[in-house]
Amino acid sequence: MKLNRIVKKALTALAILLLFGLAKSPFENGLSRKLQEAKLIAPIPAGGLGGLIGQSTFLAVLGGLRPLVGIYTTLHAFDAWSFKEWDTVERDYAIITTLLPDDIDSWKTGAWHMAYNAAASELYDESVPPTVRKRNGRAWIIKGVEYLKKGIEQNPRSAVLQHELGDIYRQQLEEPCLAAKHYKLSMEGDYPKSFAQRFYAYSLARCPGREREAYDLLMRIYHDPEEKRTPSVIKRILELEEKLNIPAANRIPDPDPDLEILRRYPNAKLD
Amino acid sequence: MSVPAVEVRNLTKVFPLSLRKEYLVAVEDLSLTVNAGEVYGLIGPNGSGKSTTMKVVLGLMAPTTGSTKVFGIESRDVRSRNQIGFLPENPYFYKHLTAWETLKFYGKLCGMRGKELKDRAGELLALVDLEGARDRRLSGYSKGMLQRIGLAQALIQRPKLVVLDEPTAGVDPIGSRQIRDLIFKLKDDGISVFLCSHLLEQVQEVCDQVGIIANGRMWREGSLHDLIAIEDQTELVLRDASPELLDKIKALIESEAGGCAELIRSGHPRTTLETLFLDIVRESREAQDLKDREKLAAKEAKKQKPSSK
Amino acid sequence: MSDSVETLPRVPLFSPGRIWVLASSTFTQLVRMRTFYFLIVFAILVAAASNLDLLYTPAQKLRILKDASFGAMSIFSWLFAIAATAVLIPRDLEDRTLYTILSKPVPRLEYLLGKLGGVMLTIGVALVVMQVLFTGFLFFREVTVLASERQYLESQGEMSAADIQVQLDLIRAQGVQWQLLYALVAIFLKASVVAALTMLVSTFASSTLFTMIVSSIVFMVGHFHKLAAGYWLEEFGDSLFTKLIIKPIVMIIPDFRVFNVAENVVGGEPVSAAIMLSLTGLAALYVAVYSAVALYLFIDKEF
Repeated sequence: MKLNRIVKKALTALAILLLFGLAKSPFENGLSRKLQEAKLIAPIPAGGLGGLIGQSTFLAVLGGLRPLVGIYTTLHAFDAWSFKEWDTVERDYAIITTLLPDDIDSWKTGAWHMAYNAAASELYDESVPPTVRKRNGRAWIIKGVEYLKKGIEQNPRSAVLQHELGDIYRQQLEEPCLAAKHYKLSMEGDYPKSFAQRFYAYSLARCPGREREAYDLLMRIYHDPEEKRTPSVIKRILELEEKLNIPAANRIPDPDPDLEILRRYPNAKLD
Repeated sequence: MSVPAVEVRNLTKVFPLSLRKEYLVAVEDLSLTVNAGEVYGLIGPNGSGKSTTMKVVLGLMAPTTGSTKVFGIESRDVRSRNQIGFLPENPYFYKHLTAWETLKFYGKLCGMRGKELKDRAGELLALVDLEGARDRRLSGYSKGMLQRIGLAQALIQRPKLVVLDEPTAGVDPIGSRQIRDLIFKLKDDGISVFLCSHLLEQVQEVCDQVGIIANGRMWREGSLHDLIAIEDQTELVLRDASPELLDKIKALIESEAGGCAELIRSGHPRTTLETLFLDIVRESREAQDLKDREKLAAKEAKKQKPSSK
Repeated sequence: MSDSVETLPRVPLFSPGRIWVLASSTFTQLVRMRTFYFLIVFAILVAAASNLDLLYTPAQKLRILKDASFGAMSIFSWLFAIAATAVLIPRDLEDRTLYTILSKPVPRLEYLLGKLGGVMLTIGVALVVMQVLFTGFLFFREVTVLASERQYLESQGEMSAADIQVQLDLIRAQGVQWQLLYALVAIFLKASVVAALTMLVSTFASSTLFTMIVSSIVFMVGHFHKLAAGYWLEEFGDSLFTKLIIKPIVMIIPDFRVFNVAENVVGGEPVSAAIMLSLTGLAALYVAVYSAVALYLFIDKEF
């Protein structure tokens, strides 16, 4: 008789909880959706992460310790970097940015490790014949580009990532047209305006067929009192004046004794 | 007519033992009354249902059938506890609190505040002789001290009924005497005391009313005086009686016409409560044995039936 | 002189004063159990994180400090909520303290709410202390990082003052912000729900260990059952299994993920007061319903 009562009580309690669950579900689900839309809670990193990290780490991630796992992995990647274990670095950054997809700095750092550090390390690996080195180095640069593109997909409004991608195209792959494209995109975000604009202009100046556009932009920068007449601006203008056969009357004056160097030694590197 | 301090009516308490239909009857059809201002001792061997009865009175357990009231209020009603001070067996209070903090904690639970509470706590510490240890944490207290702070805690809201469960268990003779004296003092102040114990000597000394419980049933109840008096026997207590005088008395009894009276024994009077208690315990055990044997026989019979089919 | 029922003082049916007495005593108990030694560990952790100087950009230096601190606060709060709540009631029972409390005029609801309140109070105080400690470190770190970054950018001479300002503002966004208090609140809310859940389990559990295990499992499942349910529903459709097992589980177990907003608030995502209000309401609802069911199981429990 008494045991029956206990069982009955347990069932009643369960029923109350179930009813409560039924009642609160719409509210809870709605809130959950709202939070995801507001980017306040991350959609669970499902399949992708399961293979990258261990089970316990996965539970920790679900248990609300995402940033901590992120920090741990960052430290791990740092360690791997100092030992030039590039594959580990690559995997670690895949984890970090899966965990923290909106952490711009991690995307940037990961891409930098791949496109610059790993690539350079391969390029100067003397144990490998030069042709192979070049190919290996280029592979890492491409990995960096792919990684950054993923980051941009996750953070379409990030000017920093666009600028970073422009940098890789300009410095590592020497693709001025592609570089110009991404610098241009970075001008639309919160990246320092003058900075982004100058890099756009520099790359545009080297992109075949777009010299006129580049010249107009550079001249606008040149005449804008707010902007700095950096040696690179002047150098590019001088180049384009030659290329586009700008009449002497319209050419810029020798602005600075320093620039005499450029006239005499056109190949001197100033930027 | 005043309301009794405790009124237990036909209390039965059954515990389920396991998922199968086995039950333990802890208390069976038990009735008792503690009148206001009286010291009532419930005695019985271990496992006889004393503690269960107390817990029902305190509202810590619900009766399976029957009812318990404290000053006329059902035990399940929180208000009934306003008038109760309870000291459990071997109490451990929050070890992290000092004696002073303990009394203040329990006083606050009873709705006491400020100066009233402080005064009362000080008074009680003096009463139980723990003033010197008031700022020590209870983790460093001896058993006797814990028992005393327990008693002080029970008295904090000036209850009219104090319930004591084995108040001197594990306490040395000096501590035991202190607690006994405190019970006398409570009685003098008109506070009803309901205590249970298996230490008969103590019960004999302080209780007005005694109930003897064994196997969950009340076997004998009454005033101590009545209980230990044996109705058809008369006791003569003589001082400095010579053997000759005793022989004369013996002869006188034997020569009595009709020969109804007989001399059962002569000698020094004994603590008769103990005798009574042991008799009852023996009696109850025998009754239990009989019950068990019957049960076993019934089970055997059941077992044999299907095999014969 | 007789004691009639009428002369007995009345006991209020519900007394916040008594709940406070029980809660503050529970707080004292937990504090004297040396719980707050954890704060020393926390301080060391925050100090270490604020001296971490790897390849981080200035904003990252601040973010790593925030992530580490809030991560530690989060772990502390739910771990403590489970462990402390699971231990409290059985301990009172073992020491017979429960007998002496319930034999005073204390309704059982007040006892439960007092214990729960004590745990929540302890977690709240610990969280506030950690927040203050960590905000101090963050502020100091922010000032240093900003100064060195400004100096660096100005020495490069390539950026206008306005551009530099934009950069510094981006760093400042990762520094001390009022929004961080919302993260604190979210962590507290989650811990409160966990504590109420653990209390509910402990009213029917037979041992402390059982309580801890069941509560931890519910807590963990509460983080991924929505995801798992989606998988099962896709895999098995509307089978009897999903109807009888999966759906009720998803229904009963809270979705703890909604309280994870702390992570992204710390990361700098803006959060509206309306959302915080919804979260608080949800947590309060959980605590209320769990307490009610706990009371239902506890009210005629026998000791």
